[in-house]
Amino acid sequence: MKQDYEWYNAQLHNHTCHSDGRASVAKTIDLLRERGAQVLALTDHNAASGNEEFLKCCAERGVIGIRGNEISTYFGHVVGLGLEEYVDWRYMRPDDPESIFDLIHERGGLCGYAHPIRIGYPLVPGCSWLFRIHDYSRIDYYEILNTGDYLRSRNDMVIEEWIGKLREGLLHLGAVSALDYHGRPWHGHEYVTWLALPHRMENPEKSAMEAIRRQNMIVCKDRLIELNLVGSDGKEYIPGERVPDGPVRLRVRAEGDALPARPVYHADDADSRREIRPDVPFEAKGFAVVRLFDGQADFDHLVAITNPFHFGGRREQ
Amino acid sequence: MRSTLFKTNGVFYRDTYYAHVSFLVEVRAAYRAIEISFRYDPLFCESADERQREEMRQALAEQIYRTDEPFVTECMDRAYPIKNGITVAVRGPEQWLGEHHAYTGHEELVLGERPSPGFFAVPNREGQYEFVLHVFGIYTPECRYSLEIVGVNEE
Ligand SMILES: [Zn+2]
Ligand SMILES: [Zn+2]
Repeated sequence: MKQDYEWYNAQLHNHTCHSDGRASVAKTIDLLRERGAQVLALTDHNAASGNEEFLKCCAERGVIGIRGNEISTYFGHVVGLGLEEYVDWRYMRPDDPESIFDLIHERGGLCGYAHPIRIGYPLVPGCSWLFRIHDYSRIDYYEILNTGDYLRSRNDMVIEEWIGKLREGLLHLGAVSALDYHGRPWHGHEYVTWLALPHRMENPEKSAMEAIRRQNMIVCKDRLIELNLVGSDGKEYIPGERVPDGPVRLRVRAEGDALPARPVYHADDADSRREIRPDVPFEAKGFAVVRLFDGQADFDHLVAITNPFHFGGRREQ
Repeated sequence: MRSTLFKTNGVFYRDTYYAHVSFLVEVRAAYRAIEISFRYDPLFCESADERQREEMRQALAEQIYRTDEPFVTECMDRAYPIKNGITVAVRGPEQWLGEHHAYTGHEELVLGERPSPGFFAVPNREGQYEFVLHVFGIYTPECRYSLEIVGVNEE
């Protein structure tokens, strides 16, 4: 079957010398390209001044660039993909992060909930999330794997929180990895967000943002491992898509030796978590998030995690 | 020709954090470049006293739910030398020009059509500028700062 999409290696959280990143815009792009990145977002702390050069350098290198800015307040950070202006963040109040989410949406951007559980003051001022969110419907995606400072981010808890929100019915919430790249050496926990993009794109930046909004994503440790679902209609579905009700089968595709030696698969749906196997039918209620582990089903052995597949009724798009 | 537009200095004391200080400056000419020289000293706090370590321990427990050893001690030890953190943001007469979010202790910033990283490339104008210091955290007993704004035009 010919696919009507292609998977792109995306890094959606990166800093340059326009804030506290070490490298210039061009150098940052080159360093990330060396690691295989095909889609990059620029998310400097409280700075949008690098965007023009960033988009130009990306275009020259055949990389899809997404302009952006990480609004970095004293009470937490919000990634604004598509945001190209400076935001005066001084008066953001801890009980009203929604005003930041609205500001980003009013400008056509996407809101990323940056490193939701992370160390802050006094060790790393501003980086801990102290905002009280009242309305999660105004966030577009979670950074489930913020890897820039792996030990100080509780990614294990964030993944559970995200799945909990899906269970509460907040099915629009996507999940991405975030290298939170500052041009420093690698930490060895290098998750990649793989983004499914159409073959033909008039405006690749917009298409990439649309794919993020539609949750057409799977987060993998380094290399792509496709975890798709085959519906009762025999069609194959990617994360973010609506699957017909009825039994589904997991279809796994991996290049070379990307698949771990002892793969363990889990599916979370609205009610439960269970182990599943490729090509063995199972039913999911509401949604399904599929995870692949290496040998042992715990956070330390996580190899890949999908965005939700949707079942039943109509999900708002 | 270089004209000093504004000059100030001061001290922040330990435990100042999450503060903003703003200076409004009336700029009476359209300068090719406006140079900002901002320094603070010391940059580093070399060692923690027992109270600071206790606060870090608490922060680890509250913010990332970790109280296990040796993680907590290692995390605190790794934090030092911790940096005093102050950054500079600027609003021009017509729009926000930007911010350089980096704790360096010494920033030589330029505004104008060829600005330094963090700031938009726009010509300087006459009118009111706002220079903002974001004080993320002061860990040393005292931290002295100085801020000088200079307008530059060809002569
Ligand atoms: Zn951040
Ligand atoms: Zn960041």
